Amino acid sequence: MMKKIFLIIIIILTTFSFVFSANFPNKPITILVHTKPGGAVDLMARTLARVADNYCEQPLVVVNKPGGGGIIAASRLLNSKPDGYTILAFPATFIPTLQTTDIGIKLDDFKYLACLTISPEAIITNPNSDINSIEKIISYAKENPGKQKWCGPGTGSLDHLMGIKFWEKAGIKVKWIPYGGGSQAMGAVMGKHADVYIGNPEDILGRQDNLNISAISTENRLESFPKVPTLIEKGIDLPNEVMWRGFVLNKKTNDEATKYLEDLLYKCSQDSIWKNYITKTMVTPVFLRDNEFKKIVYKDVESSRKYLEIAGFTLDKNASKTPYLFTFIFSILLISFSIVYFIFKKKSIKLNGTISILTISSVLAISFFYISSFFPAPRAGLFVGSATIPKVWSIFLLLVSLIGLILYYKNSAKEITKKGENIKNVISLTFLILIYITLIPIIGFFISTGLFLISSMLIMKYKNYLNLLLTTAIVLLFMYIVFIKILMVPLPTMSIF
Amino acid sequence: MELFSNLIDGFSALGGTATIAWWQPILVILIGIIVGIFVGVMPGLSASTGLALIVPFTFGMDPLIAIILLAAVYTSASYGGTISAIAINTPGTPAAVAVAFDGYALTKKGEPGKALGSSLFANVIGGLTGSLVLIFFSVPLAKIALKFGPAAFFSLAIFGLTIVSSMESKNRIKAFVSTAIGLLLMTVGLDIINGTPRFTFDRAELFDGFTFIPALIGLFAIGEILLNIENMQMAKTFKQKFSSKMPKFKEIWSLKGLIGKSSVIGAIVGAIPGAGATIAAFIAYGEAKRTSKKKDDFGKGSLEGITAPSSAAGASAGGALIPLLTLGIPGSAATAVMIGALALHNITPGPELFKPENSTLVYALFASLFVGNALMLFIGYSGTRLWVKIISAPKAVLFSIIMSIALVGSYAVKNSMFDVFVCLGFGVFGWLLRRNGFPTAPMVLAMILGKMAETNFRQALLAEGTWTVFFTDPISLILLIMAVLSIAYPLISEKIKQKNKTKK
Repeated sequence: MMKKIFLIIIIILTTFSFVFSANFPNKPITILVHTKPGGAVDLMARTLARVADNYCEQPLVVVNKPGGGGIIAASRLLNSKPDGYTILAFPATFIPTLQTTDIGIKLDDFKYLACLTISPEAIITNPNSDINSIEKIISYAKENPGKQKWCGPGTGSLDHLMGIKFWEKAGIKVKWIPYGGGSQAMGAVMGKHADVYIGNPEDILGRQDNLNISAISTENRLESFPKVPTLIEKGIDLPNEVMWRGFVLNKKTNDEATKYLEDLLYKCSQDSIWKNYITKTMVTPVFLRDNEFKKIVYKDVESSRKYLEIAGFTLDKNASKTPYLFTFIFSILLISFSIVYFIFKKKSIKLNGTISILTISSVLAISFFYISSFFPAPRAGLFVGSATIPKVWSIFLLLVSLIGLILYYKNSAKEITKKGENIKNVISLTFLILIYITLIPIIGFFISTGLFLISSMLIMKYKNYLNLLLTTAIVLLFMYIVFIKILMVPLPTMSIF
Repeated sequence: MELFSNLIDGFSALGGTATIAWWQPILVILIGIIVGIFVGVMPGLSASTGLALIVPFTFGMDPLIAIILLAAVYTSASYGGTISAIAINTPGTPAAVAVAFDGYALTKKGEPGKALGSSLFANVIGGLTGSLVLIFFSVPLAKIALKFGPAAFFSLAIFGLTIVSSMESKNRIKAFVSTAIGLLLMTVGLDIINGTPRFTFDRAELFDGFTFIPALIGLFAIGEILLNIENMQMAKTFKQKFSSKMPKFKEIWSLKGLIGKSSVIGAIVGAIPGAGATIAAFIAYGEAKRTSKKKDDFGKGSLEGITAPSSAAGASAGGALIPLLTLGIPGSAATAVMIGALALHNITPGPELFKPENSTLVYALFASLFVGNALMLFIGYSGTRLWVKIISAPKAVLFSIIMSIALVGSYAVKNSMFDVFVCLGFGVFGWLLRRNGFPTAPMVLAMILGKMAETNFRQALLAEGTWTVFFTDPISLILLIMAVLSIAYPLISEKIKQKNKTKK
């Protein structure tokens, strides 16, 4: 038995050892991706990582950091060491995100490595509907101002901006209906719930029965879609609206690493597997180095600022702060509990779990209502805004909580209250978990998990110490194999070194 | 008849072609099922993670092999999710929440084998039904799916929420409180329509709201463990005896009508993009309880309560492939990953797949779904003993392992430490609620449907500019009527029962 343990411990320890060598790169390079696994940017990064294996002695590992439209991934890049071991996949969708959120990330914080693909913006319609070409879009929109339904992912997104530019140049007024994602918006056009979708040419692949491209924003027609006219042909001066995808570094990265990565990306961009993949997804492979890349980024920034303002975005985000928030919540909490306490005292019922939860949920409802009343008002002509649904749900919660309290007051005798038997156990375990997850970023995932497993079993009075150690070792090994080796989940390692 | 000859071609392709050896398809399906069950069982990993991680391995493969591998992972993940729901009350996938009610109740009675077995059979029957629906009815169902506009989606979400009322008959008001809290928590994050940050307190991690999977894991896994150790005499490391005995054939056979009905519900609801397996499972559960003769057994380990949602979840996997294959629109996160993966193999999902030059591929995929479900029955059957053995471990060991895996799982969803704290927070919250008789499943349902309800409500109003759209859209009207009935029916039937009792 002891031999087994010894063996397992050795296996775990060797996984921590590092191999040192002199030149960049001497450890795996991380590619941060701002979407969940499976998105277009993610698949591009994964393909790049695979192609790069032939040109780089260290593996490239894709790490997904979704959230906040890219803010989480971008701030992760800027907060990691500027040593070139972390790069960020940077598509054009970052531009509006960084401009509409006030989180302290500037475009000057990045070093622009290279742009690898571009794809024109496309105006997409339903071939079976009455509105299926640029002429018809414009004439219908002029006859029925403000009635035509345009859709795409999100508000203030890249595609929304393209729409605003189009509407301005064509002199039309339409409705913008934002959807959670591109495919939902396409579904809406396919089902004729909306008229026009703004996306990229590749979006119609496999959907030609229900989607057609009315026009694209390039100077010349695309080889892959020779019948599709350009916007210039239709008299709308938008020849150069592209959705680009590239990679960026932290600005402070040293030149040696930057040079290496730029060469690596260049080699990959010339690889036949890469080119094959890119053409399959119907985007255009390019290789734009730092300055050329920077130029299109800043050109987009310039125009997006102007059009975001037209769309009604205030670029300073200091709006909607709730005054006296904590004072408010605290006093509501105090008032509600004292009211409930005195009412139930009449029937000599003590504040138990059910009453407390119902009181707290009422306070929650009132607080959410209070905060939502400071949200920006709905735009002109709309009677439903950001605050409406939170307010409806708060009223619903307040209502059911109050009914719950009243019913409890009436039939309290029927309810058998359970006495907390071992609340101490729960509290100690909760604290243990809290200590464990606070320690993970400090002493690394595997050490803290090992300590947690041992102490948690000890807290639960598990007495078979041999089994205890064996279980810990087996679980750690299992997690190492599954999460690190197979799934390649980047678990936190020690940060004190 | 062309369909049948195509299907025969598909099956023969699975036996090997000029470029594929005879053993490759079967081996790939086996691997796919094992991977799928594994990601389904592990809290925090889902079918979409499994698919995204397996995609790079398919680069060098023959397209046919790649597509059946992905399909096998995708379809078996739903069964994997029910295993952990039944064994440790930790739904591996959101759809499995509905299976946990009765599945875990039966496990607590010491009969996990029976619960796992009936869920497996139901899932396989559901999977087969879903595949049949996919093959024979994909074109009309795709047309119906396209008819769902924002108004109809909103009403579907509302109908889904009303199921809470029939789910919890004892503590209805507490179930509503739990629902309302879930709805309110789902408004945290950037508002999709205007981009306004709501209740985010300037934390970028909250811009997309609470991540659902860590919240789910917290409410169920962590909450369950805290509840258990509160009532546990720690001095003794007590062990419970669990039986791995499978259900009798007779018991399953007597549920054939219910399983069939739930499978059809699953396949149809699964075909609506965005609705998916979870709503299907909850609708099937609510419907099973409504029509059951033994309503009181629900929540206490009723086989009806296990098989109905299991078969619906199994069938919805086939259903969700309908919009993917016929329209090229992904109906769920997992099918969205499949689109990207197929693009790498020069396969564009959509009507073109059914043209003669591609038809072998698509019919081989259909054939692989049948073979896959048959193999899953076999693998699941032999796996049952393993799961029962795992949960028979001493509680101290089992709980510690579950906790650490639950926390890693929460981290793995977005690689974010913040989500690990979210998981713990919801765990303590779930414990507080459940020890006071507030059910947590309605909160989960509300968290799934809350965003869908709000987004579609506002999209419908933006598009049409009037409130009446919810009543003039025929699908929306039907769903709203069903919602009213689903709230009113249990109330009225209880009143009638009470009256009858007092008369006697």
